[in-house]
Amino acid sequence: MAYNILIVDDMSIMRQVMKMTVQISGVDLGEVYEAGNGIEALNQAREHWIDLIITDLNMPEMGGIELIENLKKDEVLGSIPIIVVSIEGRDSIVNRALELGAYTYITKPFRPEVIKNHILKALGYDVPE
Amino acid sequence: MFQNESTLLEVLQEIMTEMFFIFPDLDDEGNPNQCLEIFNADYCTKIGYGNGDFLFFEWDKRLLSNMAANFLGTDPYEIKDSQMLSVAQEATNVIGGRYLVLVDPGKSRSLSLPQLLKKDDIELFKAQSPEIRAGFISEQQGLFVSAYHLE
Repeated sequence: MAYNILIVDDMSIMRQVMKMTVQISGVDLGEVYEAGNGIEALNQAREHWIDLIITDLNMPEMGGIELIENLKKDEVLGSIPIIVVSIEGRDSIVNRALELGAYTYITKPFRPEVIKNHILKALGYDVPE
Repeated sequence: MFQNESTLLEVLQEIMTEMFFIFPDLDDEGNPNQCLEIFNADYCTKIGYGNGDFLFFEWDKRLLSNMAANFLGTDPYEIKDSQMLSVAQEATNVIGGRYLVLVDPGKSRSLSLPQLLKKDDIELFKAQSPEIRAGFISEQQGLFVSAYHLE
């Protein structure tokens, strides 16, 4: 089964880095979709079948928290696992994301290996600890 | 005092080396060099963290090009201006966030979105005196970060 992944970040270079990381992660990859904020992400998620969302929190127009709230309210999209990427120390916001149902979080600066492991786990792959 | 120059310098070095794999030039005593005889910033960014406090970033285009290339695993000559601007904003976000965690452990402040500055905004900062200033030099390419309190 090939997995479709949606990457949400207002910085194009971060989307590129995430995309490269996903591509070398070993996941059986289908399409990688991109969005620059929560509104674009919701539109992409409604338009395409998405298996995993990786989202930044601090974005213009609609940030990551509002995106998670909207996804979790939706009967179809609510079950998509969400990995949150945040700058270090924003604990209260990260905790809020987890309370809302985000699968896990990654802090920046990060190593690609860390992201890879989170992606594999979120998609149900066996990852050695 | 809220601002802390040595913390800002440590954060610059940490993020530049760990996230972008850019290492500082060292002076004769083996400390990171923070001075350039001539420096004209190609791009400026800012990020706010409440109470009128901002970090103001002055970037050398060549440094941004190397950062983007390292980040993407490509050659600097393949980097476009749009990628340099994106890396400048992302680095502003990460450096600002890390600095705020260290100087505001009580987490009473929140970070704004990073912004690329236009000429008028840059002059607004240049007309004031920064509270602190830290530099990061690598291969004679500079990044300078100043903390300002604007009323």
